[in-house]
Amino acid sequence: MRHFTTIVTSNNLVCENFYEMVFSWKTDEKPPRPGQFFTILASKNTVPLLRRPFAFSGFNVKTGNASMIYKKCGTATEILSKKLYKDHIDIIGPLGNSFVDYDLGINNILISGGAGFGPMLFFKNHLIDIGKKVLMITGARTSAQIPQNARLDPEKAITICTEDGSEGFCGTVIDYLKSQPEKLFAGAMIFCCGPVVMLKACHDFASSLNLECFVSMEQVMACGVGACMGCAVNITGAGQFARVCTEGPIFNSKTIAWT
Amino acid sequence: MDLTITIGSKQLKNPIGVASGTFGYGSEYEQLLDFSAIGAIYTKAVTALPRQGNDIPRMVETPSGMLNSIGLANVGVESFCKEKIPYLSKLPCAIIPNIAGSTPEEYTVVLERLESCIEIWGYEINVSCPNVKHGGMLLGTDPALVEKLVRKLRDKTRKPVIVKLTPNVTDITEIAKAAQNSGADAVSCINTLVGMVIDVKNKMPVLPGKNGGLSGPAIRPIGVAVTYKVSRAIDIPVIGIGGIMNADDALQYLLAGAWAVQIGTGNFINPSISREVADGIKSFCELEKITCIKDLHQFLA
Repeated sequence: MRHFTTIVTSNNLVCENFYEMVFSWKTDEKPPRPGQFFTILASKNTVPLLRRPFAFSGFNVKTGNASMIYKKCGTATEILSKKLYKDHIDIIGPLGNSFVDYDLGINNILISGGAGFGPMLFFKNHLIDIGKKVLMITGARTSAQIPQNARLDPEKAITICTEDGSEGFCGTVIDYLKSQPEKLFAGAMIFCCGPVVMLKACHDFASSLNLECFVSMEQVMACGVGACMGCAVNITGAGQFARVCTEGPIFNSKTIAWT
Repeated sequence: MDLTITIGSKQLKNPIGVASGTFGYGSEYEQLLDFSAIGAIYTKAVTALPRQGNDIPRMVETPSGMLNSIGLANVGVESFCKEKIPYLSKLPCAIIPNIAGSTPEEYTVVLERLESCIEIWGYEINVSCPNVKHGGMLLGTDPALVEKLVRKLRDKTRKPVIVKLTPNVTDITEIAKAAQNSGADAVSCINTLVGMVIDVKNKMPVLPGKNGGLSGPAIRPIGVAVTYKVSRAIDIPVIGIGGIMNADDALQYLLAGAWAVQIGTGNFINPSISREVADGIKSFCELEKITCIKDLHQFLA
């Protein structure tokens, strides 16, 4: 990990309330891997005070640019959404573990919901680059909340689900999974990022078919580097916790104590 | 410019420390801070046995601050000595474990075990954690209990003993005097203030334990006022803590009467803040022709 200041390359709206920020990875630190995250200081003022964690949505080896797709949902992301080309940003990263730290399957099913889209897009592109079979399923309430990156995917490997049926499959990502023939999941590994309700549903679905499932967990964070113990999540075993920033954010879903 | 300060029988090379609970066991910040720039690391609190910490969520941001309820999650004194001290002892700054416990006996057990680690510079006694049901702040709000506990620990070590005070009392100088009377070499103040955030939509406190400890720039004026008051009530050094975000903030504490400072929440925002504060204090003193930390105490009556 490194702490560095870099510049914004672009920062565009990709769907309702979602932005994609591309920034120069101007550091000698190794490039980020899918599932990893970084923290960004939105402002030098004391409101908002803490750095905010975001997952990488991509890294372009040719340009040396990293990116994130984030949802404007509070003071910090409101400030970030106004950053312009060449504005300076303060980054610490890359942080946490990666999906690729786990053994990948021959058949990889990636599921994202809401702001979980970015890291899954990064992982999907990585899997295609290394020649792995991949199906990505992304869900939102309505078509306007699906990042345009899903439709512009050159490999056409992203299945869109909307709860109101305005685009793609009508229903949640879980409804979609359940609507598919079991043979689609033969030897599959499931990877998910999104709201915790969706993660649990994916875990339950994977368990019912005896599939391995990996989830990207989210928690409020202060330091992001393992020092403050603030970003704990419950893991299996009495009174046990793991730090999302250090032991995670990617966990085997069996290790999470779902409530 | 001489930035060294003396606490008890020992010296720190400069007055800047990183506060307990915000800096883990040091290694977490290895790639982000040049440790030679700081005087001391006050480690994550150490208890006799490992502690998992409190239920989640454990923190929430507040205006210019944050509320935490970590609950002294730590590896326990045995693992601390075996797994953390070997790394910490290689660092070019003083190592000051923060000792916590549920009972006076637990503090004693921890200190006695730590005494076998020669690399340790001194101890900070945590009688001020607001996030545990036993010990912590409950001990630190009673002068008689503080005096008894610190005297017991004082008898077991020749290394500097620093007592970390809670501001959640009517008169903090009573607690500071109790620490001094029982042989403490310094006091650090302040630990976090008790606070609560309620989620209006759910009609429930955000933190499962209802209350948490408030830190960050929101509490700095309180920390400075307490430092001013305590430094005039006792003769041993005061270490100022609370909301330091830059060199000027740290200088406020030093001008108020502190001999040293600790940076806590600021580390989360800028991991190299302590180096920047150390550099800033040095520049200020050179510009103002101040030759040592004591000189900063002459300005406020």
